[in-house]
Amino acid sequence: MMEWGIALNLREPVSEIIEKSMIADKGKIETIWITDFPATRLSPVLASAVAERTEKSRIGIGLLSPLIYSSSHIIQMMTTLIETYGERFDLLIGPGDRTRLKEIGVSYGDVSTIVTRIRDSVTSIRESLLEYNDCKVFVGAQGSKMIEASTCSDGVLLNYSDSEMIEWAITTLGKRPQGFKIGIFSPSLIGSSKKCDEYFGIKASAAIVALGLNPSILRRFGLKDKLQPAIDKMKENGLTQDLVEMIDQEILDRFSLCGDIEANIDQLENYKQMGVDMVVYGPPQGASLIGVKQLVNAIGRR
Amino acid sequence: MYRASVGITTSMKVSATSWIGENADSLGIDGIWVGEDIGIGQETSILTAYLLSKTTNVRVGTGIMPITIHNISTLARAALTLNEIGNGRYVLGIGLGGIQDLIKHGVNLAKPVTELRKSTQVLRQLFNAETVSVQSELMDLKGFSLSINNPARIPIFFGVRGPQMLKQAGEIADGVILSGPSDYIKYAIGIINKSAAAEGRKAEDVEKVVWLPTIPTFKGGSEKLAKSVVALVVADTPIQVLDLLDIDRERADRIRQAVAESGPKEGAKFIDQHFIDTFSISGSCEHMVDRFEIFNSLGATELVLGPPFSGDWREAMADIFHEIHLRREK
Repeated sequence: MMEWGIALNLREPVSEIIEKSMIADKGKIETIWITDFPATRLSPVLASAVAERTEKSRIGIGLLSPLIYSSSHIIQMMTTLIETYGERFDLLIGPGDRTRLKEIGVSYGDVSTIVTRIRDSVTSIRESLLEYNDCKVFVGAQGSKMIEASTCSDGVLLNYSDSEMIEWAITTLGKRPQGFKIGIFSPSLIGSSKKCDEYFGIKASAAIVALGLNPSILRRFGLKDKLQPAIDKMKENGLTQDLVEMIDQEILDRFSLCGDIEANIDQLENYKQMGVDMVVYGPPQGASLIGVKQLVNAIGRR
Repeated sequence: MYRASVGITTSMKVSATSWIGENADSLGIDGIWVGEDIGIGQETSILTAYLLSKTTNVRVGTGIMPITIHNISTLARAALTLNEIGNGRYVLGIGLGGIQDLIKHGVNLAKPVTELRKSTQVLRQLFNAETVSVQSELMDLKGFSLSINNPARIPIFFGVRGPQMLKQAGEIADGVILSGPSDYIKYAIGIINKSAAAEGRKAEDVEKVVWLPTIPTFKGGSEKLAKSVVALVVADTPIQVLDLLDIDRERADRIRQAVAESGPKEGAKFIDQHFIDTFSISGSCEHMVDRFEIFNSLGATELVLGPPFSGDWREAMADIFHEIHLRREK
């Protein structure tokens, strides 16, 4: 059976995140992913509070960027969590959103070496965590170089939901190392009867992913010309409602999972056939208590 | 009456810090301070979160997290998260970091006093739900905010030593974490109170936390470990502070050199009883509480017990807090 996860921690207070985590834990969602920057609360600290109040769910930390935290600091965070609460934690590593990182004075530096630097960080972090039997280190990836580099880890999480893109990513990955997992970490709103085009939250989350894709991916999937006006506008004014409305719904659908569970069963089965091992339901699914409860209801029918 | 707290460091074992977290309420401990041994042992904010989760009445502070090592946005985000986990029981202690740590990490600030002031201002703006843009030696924020609707009241304490820093603490900090011999503590509190008054603040507006090595000798504590800790404190004490003290300066210089070259264990070889008495609180349970009261009479509002922890430190800690509570009841 495909594993399910839910991403929590955007701007909501700690008490609300803990309440959602407890619902997810009791609802048998396999992994609670606690996102990090640009989320306001610090993921590993929040994970400590979530571990205190939950029992069974695994807890995913990240995406943590080695550009914000040194590899040794990330190792220290993970070992502290594991030593204190047991082997319940996984880690997602990636560079993070380039534009948002600039807000805190963090730069990608030489872009041509970013994949190598992330791979080196993942390798050293993973080696340091090898003494624990059950702590997986994943890489968040979109483009071909990062996907190829992800084989140094325990798995890759892709942030799109379109079958064509996922198939390409899996082909790019080539032969998987033993035990290597492939996951989808995409904007989601599962369990709601609303359609994707009726709810701004899912449209906005999908737009952020689509407009943040690297140019080579955009070109490969015929999206460059269609999205360039929106990308230019975002550089000027940031993400606005008008800008989101500029993007064709068909494009947004390629970056999101939406609708009631029955409407998604075929898609999930399709992912499974392609070799996808897990789905992490990204924002806005976990942004509200209702969203978490809807996912819990859906998991019973998967 | 002073607040009585426990100090721990990130290099301590999980079993030790867990015991303190689990027993702090029942022992009647007023606060726990978590000192960051940069890059060593447990992660500071996670350890602090654990302690906040395990206690209900105890104030928990990070004392200190160096602004030189962490991105200011990370410090602000960690503080906001911890403040919510502790329902307002969290205190953010900041400073530059110990001299030895800064050397080790190649940190060299041109204007450390200015940088600490600016960092404090930025943290307060962020906690006040404002959007901040700032550029300085350590910070580079462009339109960053914590995306909170209501201000978060998070006290900011300084872990500082030199006169300029102490003066600044009196002007803008909610509290100061001090470490050093009684002569120095008296001198430091004098500077803080004077500068607070110059800013129209009352002396009690700035809490004074005194945290120096405590070595209970009545439950089999390790003298070797105590000497090693005192050597590190001597090495980390600014020269202008050493100049205030009635100590063998030549010996102090030998200790500093040995610590810088080979670490605290080498420095410990030059530590004698006079240095232990000057730079730590040691002795019997009653004597240690007497020393706490002396520091309180000098103006300290909070006294911190430990580390180093050795021998049967759990029993020693229970005895000391029992003694403190007995005296409070009188």
